[in-house]
Amino acid sequence: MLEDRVLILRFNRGDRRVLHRIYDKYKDDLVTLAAALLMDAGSAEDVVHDVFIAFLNSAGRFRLTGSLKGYLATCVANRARNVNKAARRHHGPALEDVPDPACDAPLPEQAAIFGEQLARLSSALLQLPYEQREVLLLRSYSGMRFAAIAKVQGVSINTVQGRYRYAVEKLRSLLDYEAEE
Amino acid sequence: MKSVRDIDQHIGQLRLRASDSLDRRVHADIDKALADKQKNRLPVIGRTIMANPIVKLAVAAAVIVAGLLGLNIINVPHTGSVAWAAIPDRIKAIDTFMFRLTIDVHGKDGATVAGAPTGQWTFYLSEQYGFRMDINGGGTVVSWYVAPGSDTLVTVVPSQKKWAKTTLPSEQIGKMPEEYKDPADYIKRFMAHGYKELGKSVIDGVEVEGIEVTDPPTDGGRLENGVGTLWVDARTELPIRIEIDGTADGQAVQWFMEFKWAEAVDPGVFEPNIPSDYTPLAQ
Repeated sequence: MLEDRVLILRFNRGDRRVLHRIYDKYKDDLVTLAAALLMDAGSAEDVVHDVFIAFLNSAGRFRLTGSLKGYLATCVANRARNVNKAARRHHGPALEDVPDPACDAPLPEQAAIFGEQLARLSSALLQLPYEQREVLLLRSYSGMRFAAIAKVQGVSINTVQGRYRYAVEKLRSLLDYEAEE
Repeated sequence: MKSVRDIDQHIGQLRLRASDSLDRRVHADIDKALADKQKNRLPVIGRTIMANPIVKLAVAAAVIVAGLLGLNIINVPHTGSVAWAAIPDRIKAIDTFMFRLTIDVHGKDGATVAGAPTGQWTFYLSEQYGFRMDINGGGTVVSWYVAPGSDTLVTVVPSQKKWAKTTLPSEQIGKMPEEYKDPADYIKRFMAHGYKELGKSVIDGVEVEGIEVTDPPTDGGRLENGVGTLWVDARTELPIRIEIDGTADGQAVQWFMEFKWAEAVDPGVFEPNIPSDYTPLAQ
């Protein structure tokens, strides 16, 4: 945490070289988050790239009020949501809009981005509505509190807690179903 | 039945590594931005107060003063009792001062805005006593101290009862990025495009005189409908407060700056005075 504060101070003071360190420190977490949100490794990397470019351009204006990782995760979530919306506009409904597929249905190609071993989990995540998936992942990967996620999503904290509860329940039922197979 | 913890552990197994291609793209873009910035730097303007390396360093660390200043200095008419145009020079002659900036950003409904550049920074600068900066944000205060002539930065985190000593990198000692200046320069810029005199008032029992400007300089992006007010002590003719209100991206932005000059600043604030129960911070 303190290292992050020093990194931000150096960055704001004009030492943009620290962005190399910030990127190296959080790149894998952010790519993972973006990929789990979008289930598309290529788009995930584009999102992370764009977040860092925007961050670079914010020199002198950025003020760290929480965790740097939480801030970057928020930026990734916001951009990923835009990418998701754009994809839905261009390609019709996203997978989560389709009625629940049977759990033994062939895995969507996207679900394999985390490797075959985790493809079932990826597939289960993919079946969650986007907003629920976002809450679950921000909570799991970034340790963000419900209040912070509520601000990201522009909804009440109760809504976020509800989305989390539904996401966990649905994931639990999907994974338990698979475990019984 | 899987527990929430099981679900979390499952999700934690999903790991991807950033590709070499992404690494190259991001690092190359950072390097390009660094190179462009170097190319576009403005000439350095010397200042007496900046002659001392420690003060240069201190001001270089002044996060929020970044980008505040320009070089357009014009004479402004003096119609009131305060010699407004003489204020920057008066400030330059003062060795020790305190400058505190509080930035607040709110949405239309008054709600706080996630990720907004809010917080409070307090700087104590003195050629005689050194430098101290307090950063207050996210519920934590971190204080930095540098004694005169020292290349050691002392960091104190009272909420964690921690402290640390760090040797400053040699490239940072005595150097000051051109974009960081001090209150005198900021006030020059503040008044650079004319002002309206507000007359006399009283702030905290002190008789003051004020001026109002439109489009006041702020850190980074320009505020829409920005209005700034500068209040100076009518007796000393030194600034005691600047208030700026405006909007940016549909959000209400408020800057509140406070100043203390010379003997009004207790020299004791420059001493870290680390309590005996504080422990070293892991590096």
